[in-house]
Amino acid sequence: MNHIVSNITEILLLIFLTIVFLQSGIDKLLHWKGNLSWLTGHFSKSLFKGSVPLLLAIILVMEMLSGILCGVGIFQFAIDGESAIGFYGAVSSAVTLLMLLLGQRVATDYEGAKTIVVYLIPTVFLVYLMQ
Amino acid sequence: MIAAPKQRTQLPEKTQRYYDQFQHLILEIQKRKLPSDLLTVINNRIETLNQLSDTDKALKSEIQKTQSKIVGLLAEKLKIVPINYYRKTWFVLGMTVFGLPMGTALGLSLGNMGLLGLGLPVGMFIGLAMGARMDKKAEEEGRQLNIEIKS
Repeated sequence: MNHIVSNITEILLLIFLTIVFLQSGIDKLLHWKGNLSWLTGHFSKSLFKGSVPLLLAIILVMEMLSGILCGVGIFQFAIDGESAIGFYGAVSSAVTLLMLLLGQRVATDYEGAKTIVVYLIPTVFLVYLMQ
Repeated sequence: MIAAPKQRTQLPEKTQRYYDQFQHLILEIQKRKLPSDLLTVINNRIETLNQLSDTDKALKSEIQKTQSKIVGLLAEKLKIVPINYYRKTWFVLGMTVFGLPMGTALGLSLGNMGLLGLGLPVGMFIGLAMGARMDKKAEEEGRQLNIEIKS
């Protein structure tokens, strides 16, 4: 209980990232074909048009990895007061969001890119807190 | 003979916690008989750390670096490890070593690459189980130090 109270900001942010990335990863896992066809259209006029399946697979792996690391990081923080796995989760989440941001910028979807920044701000704050 | 880490009692709370853990680790290592070449490397590391002052901004990260270097050396050369060392290592390794190939194989065979993501949690559990088994074996063979490294 002590660990939870003294690390509550980090734990809440890790819960936030776990929800974001596990939901997104599981959605891609369950609706792969739908996601792929939408993204193929989205990137049809961009640099990435020939490699959408590969890029989607990379994003899926990164999202699942980030979500799992953040999820396990919550328990590690709450039980042991340790931050190693949570820190890796926060860093991989930031990297994943930068990949998504790059995708939105390359597809010239600037509104979509702005949305990614909303997620990136608390993530970078978490990395700073856990450093 | 392993060099003793300098006594430090007035460090900031978090740094003090890391340093106390480091001192505990050295005490545990002192109970073991180590080959002279390894002893020299460990002593050099401790001496370098001892040269830093209590107010040095790099002290916290240097404690962690020295500690992780010493733990890594012991694990690599003598297979002597702290409690839960393999479980922590194989937790992440399991996802990449087992999870990714399993997910790729599953995705390719079923024609749905989305299943790639399913391999990661499965790999994580395999890694955890393998790590726990290796930790148990280390304990049974007397290769486990009586300390769990927390970061």
